[in-house]
Amino acid sequence: MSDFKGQTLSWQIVNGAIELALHRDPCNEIGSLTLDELEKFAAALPELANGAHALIVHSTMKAGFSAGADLRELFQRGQEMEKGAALRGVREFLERIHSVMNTLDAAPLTTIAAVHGVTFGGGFELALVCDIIVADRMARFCFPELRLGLIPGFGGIPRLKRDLGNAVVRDLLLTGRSFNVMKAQQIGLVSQIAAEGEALRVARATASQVGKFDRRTAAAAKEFVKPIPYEELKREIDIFCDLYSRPAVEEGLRRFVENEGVQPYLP
Amino acid sequence: MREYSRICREFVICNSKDTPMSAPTADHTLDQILNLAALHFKVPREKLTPDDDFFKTLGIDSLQALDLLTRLEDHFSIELPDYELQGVSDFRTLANRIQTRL
Repeated sequence: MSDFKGQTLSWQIVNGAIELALHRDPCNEIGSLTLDELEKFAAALPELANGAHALIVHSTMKAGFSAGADLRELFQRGQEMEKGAALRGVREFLERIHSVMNTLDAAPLTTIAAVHGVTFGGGFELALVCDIIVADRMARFCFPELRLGLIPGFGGIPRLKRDLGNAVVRDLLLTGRSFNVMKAQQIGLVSQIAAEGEALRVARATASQVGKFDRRTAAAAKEFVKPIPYEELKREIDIFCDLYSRPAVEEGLRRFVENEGVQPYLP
Repeated sequence: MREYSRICREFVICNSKDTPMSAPTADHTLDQILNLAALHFKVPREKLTPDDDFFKTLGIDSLQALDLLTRLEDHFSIELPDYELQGVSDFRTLANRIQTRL
């Protein structure tokens, strides 16, 4: 399947680069439908990779790259099921999305996240699986999970630890604060900053450059510098599920879902 | 565009190395915030006053407020953690918070 148009995402090959576009209104919240389509993409990736040298992940939504997990769906499912079944559902969701993230992380081509606007939680984690993050000057990053009584669950902590110093990881995680592109570049998270609205163009130029090199050499270099922390990723799922069972999480999710104020994204 | 250039020029002059290094005054900071908000959210500058609730006056939601925060950080070359803005909804208090980071 060289191209696909789904309800939450689409892909096509442009000038030798696979372009995976996220387009779920309002800001690419990642729920079961997005997961289904991400799994389709992960299954198609080996064949797509035969005809491409790079993958660009980007969003066509104005608000940003992705606001993260679909917390409304998470809350609703928790309300509709008995607690044991809800917990099993959460674990299954996490194991499935970890499988997708690990596939993208290990993809045998150079992967580039072109981010803008809100890049929060699970959306931030999706960007972190990519080899290179190109960020719009107005992009904003955040791990807000602790305000819900949770930790990031899509592989965020092990991958942040892979890329950043632990002191910075603790600050971002334990304060749950959002931060801008200058900070993201200063701490080594973002390697290229694009002018407003230009992240995809810069990502395409980067993809064009990496396409000049021998693919096997690039894949070997990537494997050498970007090991996947499988053990920590498994532990993250266990910790997330332990925390999810607590009443504080249900209350945190309820506050978020029922909040009709203007500041629900601010901690 | 001309208005934007004027604001940028004022900011450069304010931070010029040819002038004595001193932090801009709170009034100047407030003025720049009002100019930037008016320009970006396309609201007539004269309709904005320091004690306005910026969510209401600008007609913005939380995501747009984060966008405003990012633009202000960029404009003033500061880092302003969003938890410092918890409960802040008027331009004057926002300016005071920014002033502590200049």
